[in-house]
Amino acid sequence: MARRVAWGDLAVAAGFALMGLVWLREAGGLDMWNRETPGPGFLVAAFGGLLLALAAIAAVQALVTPAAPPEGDGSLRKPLLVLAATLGGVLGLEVAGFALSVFLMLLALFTLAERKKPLPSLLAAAGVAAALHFIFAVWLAVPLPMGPFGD
Amino acid sequence: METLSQLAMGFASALTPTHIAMCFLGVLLGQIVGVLPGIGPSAAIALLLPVTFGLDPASALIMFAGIYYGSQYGGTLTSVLVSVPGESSTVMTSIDGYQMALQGRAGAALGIAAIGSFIAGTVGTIGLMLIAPPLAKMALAFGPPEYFALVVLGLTALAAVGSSITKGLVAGVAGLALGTMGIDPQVGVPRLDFGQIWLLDGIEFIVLTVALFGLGEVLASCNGASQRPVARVVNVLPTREDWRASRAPIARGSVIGFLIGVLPATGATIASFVAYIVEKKLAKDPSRFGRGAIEGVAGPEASNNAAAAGAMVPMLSLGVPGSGTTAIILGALIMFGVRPGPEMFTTNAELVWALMASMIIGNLILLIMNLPLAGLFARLLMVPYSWLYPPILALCIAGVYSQSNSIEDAWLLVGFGALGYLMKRYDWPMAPMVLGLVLSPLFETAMRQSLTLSLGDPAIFVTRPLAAGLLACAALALAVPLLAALWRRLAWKFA
Repeated sequence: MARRVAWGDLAVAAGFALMGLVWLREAGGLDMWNRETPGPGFLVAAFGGLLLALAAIAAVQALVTPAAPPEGDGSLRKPLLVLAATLGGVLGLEVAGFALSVFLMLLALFTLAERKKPLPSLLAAAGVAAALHFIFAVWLAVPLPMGPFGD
Repeated sequence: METLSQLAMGFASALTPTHIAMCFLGVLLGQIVGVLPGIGPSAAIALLLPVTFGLDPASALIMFAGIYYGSQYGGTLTSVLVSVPGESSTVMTSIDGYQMALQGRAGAALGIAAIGSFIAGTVGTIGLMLIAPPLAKMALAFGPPEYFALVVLGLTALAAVGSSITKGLVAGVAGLALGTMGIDPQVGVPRLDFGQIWLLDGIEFIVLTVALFGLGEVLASCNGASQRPVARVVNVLPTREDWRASRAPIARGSVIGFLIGVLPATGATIASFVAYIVEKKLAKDPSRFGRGAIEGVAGPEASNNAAAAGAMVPMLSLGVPGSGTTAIILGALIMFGVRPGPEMFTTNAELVWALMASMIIGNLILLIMNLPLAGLFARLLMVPYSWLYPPILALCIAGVYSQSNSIEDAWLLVGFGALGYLMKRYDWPMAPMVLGLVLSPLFETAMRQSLTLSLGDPAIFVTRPLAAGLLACAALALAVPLLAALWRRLAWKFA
């Protein structure tokens, strides 16, 4: 049977392996063993090493998969667009405040990612932003960022 | 006798207006998330965590449990009406349920599913009441080595369930590793803070959960955001013949589901699969299965609901979750300051018994809701996902930010959300990662206390019978699927 490389699995495994390496490096600066008990660095090193080893096994499996599984449905375009919009929403939190930032994010998602008509998109974005502001800022008294509208 | 008096105490608490309202809200939300595409009970509970900060733990727990078992009912609607299972545990229902819908019998399929689910949910809850307290009493003898072994068992069992044990283990260990960030719990030394003050508090459970199950799920599902045609629902009350054919499958499904649900990390999906196979094996004419046999709906539906109750047994009595969703409920309990495990039955007896009583009330509410209102819930299927996921994203941001009013948590949301998307896309399980993060402090404390007790000798984990037994179970949880895969490979090679 033909062997294929499962590139997606390989990338995720590489990410976890990198995390293991970072944990191992950070453990170097911590006490490993203190008299008869493990120090603060012991588990950091243990988890780092274990993560590196397991991620390496997962990477090998991804390299020699007899038939790589189908890698999810659809293209990357829309997930990347949605992720970018979320990133924009988070970026705008302190600059424009929660309500405006979330409103703009929703509007961008409805109109650009989903190609909805402008008026329903505008109404839905405004309604959701207002509802969330009411739930979190008014009802739960969470001090959401106000941006230029705050004091 | 003691059980009855505690159950009476539980009902007294569960029947207060607030708890009835939370139970109703939970099962209603569960029903809705079960129907809606792209959002499951895990995501729903994760998204609601920030909103429940001000609630008492009992109210929140009753609502979360309601979402969990309510979603099993909701998933049935999509399975029967559009052959798209809302939950993985209703995959088996879609085989015969959808065929019944094509034959104009969608109402009968949904009706028998609702009745079967109610009976099984009630049987499962009674089983939970009978098994969990003695199991917890036995587990009161646990010391640090046993807790260490219990965490190992919980993680390995959950890791072993997915498509790849290695991926599950990587995710579990990554969660444990994330849990070591912040101040060391014993000597107070900062670890893995990378010079950032905000990382001294470590990674919050809620941030990781909302990112993986909220943002990650949305990113993975946004490509399929289209509208689907839905079958009409009429005559949900089953006929006498339907009932006669379904009685035994419901009874068998209830028992099978509960027993499978009790085993750590097996869950409702495996339970419904086993129930379907059993019904097909016992049928006089197995060829009817796959063509609209009502037994193929009744058995799996009963089984997945009984399993949801069964999964609560290890979570409440041992602090080991029986499924991905109960792993998140477990994290929520810890967030509320309640330590799940054997002590819960003594230190939080009212909460536990109120939860179990509320599950019986919740199942009754679901039955009442599902028989006359099945058609109404079916209309939810017409809501396109493209209108749903943007508000879910906004809720993710608001929820994560409100956790500790921290913009850095919102950044982590984006980072872990992208990771969640990749994990979902390439079939890496996310529940072990969340569970690893939740159990990391317990794991570390138990391990360090054990080694202090034994003056650094790791043999303490295998010389104490209970700890050794639990570790042996963990080894079995890993070995059995590995050996089964090896056996299949050998059988295929020599066939």
